[in-house]
Amino acid sequence: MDNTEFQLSDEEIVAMTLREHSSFGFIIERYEAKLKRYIGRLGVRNYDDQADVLQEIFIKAYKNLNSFDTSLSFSSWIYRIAHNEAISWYRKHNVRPEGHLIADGEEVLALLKSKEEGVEAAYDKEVNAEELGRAMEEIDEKYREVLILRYFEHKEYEEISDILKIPTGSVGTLISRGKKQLYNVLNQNALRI
Amino acid sequence: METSQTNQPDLKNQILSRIEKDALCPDSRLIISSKEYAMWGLWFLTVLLGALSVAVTLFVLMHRQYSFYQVTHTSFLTFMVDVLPYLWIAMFSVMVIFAVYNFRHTKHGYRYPLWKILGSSVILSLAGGALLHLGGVGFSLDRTIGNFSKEYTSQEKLEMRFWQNPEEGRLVGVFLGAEDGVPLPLVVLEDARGTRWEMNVAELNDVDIRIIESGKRVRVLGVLENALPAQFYACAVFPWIYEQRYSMHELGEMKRSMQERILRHTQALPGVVEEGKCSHLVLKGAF
Repeated sequence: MDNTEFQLSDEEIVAMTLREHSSFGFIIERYEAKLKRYIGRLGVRNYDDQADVLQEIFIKAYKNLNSFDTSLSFSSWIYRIAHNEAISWYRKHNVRPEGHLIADGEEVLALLKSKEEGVEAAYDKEVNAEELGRAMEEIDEKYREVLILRYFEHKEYEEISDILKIPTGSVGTLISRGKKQLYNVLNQNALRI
Repeated sequence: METSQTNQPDLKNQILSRIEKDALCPDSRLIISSKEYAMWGLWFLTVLLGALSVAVTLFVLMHRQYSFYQVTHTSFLTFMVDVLPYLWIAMFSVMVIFAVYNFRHTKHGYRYPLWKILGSSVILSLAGGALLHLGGVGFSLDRTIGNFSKEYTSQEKLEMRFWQNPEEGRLVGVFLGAEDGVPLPLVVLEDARGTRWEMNVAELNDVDIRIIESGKRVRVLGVLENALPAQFYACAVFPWIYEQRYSMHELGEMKRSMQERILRHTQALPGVVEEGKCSHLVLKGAF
């Protein structure tokens, strides 16, 4: 791979791939780590499972390259495929999605201190990544999905809307409600301790 | 977590090999576009069907002869229960649900909140339905389906059920004129079941007479005098709107004209007909 690959946009690589399939390797290199982390957070935790799901994601992306809508970002488009594959994986395996949140201090802090979407009561207790991870597993799936995308994948509202195929307005609502539910779970867990 | 760095070449090679080995190709743009067009086509179809349902519903609601409900029913409520086009209202509701579903499944349909999609589908169906109604489509569709299907109760069939009821003082039929040897003001009417009635038209006014003389099917409001031989006393005559293709404008005019006549009867007749055979209609509130 030469340096030109790094200067190309995703959309340009897609156009190249449609002419020559080996260019798809650039896409794989660009997104493998991100998507692996993402599906891990969504609940695909086992290494082999992650490899299988990742392969399916990229194969599906390749087969559907012509349906890539340039009005979306490529990132949103491939995240959507990843999201759908992760969901169908744990539905197929009949397991409850258990997130494996790899959250560093800044991410935890961003999630809990953020006052966006009218959540005024930012959590003021000390909390570590492990506690947050447990709490995230307890909240509703619909809230967990948006919180992961917003605070762990650092996606904008429009991107989340495109990934989850929900209206942008609903993204804000889900984040707000998700955070409230997360605070409640954290508080309950703190009381138990 | 960052094991991906070590696995990266493996995954990339695995995928590229699989693409080559299985001869995988991106799906054709034509197939993908056709799915999108199909979804929009289905959306359009559901809105159109919704609009057709609205057109028939509007036709039924706006051109039912409300002025006569006292004649055919015991109350306005029972009248409405009988005439509301439930099938079309249900079809409109189902089509709106399908329209929302189809729109949500277009490429960018998810970006719009449910209320906007629902609202726009309803408004488009209503607006389209109003236009189709103005073009007479609701009337024609209802009638055509009624002609083709025995199970479907068109407004024409419903109206026939209400009006072909001599015991209750209502008849649908065509005037055949005066028969030889029958003295005026007696004329002959053949009703929808083929029965020939000897009809007394002494109390009919000029408008009624003109309607009779048109030779088209008419509705007669009056009194049953005798079942055998069939004798009927006519109090008023109204056109049968299903006899021929009328424009919505003509139907509107016809309805207005009938309402005016009923009003004139109400204002002018009491003193005249109180003692006549039609007085019971005044008391009943039909005039």
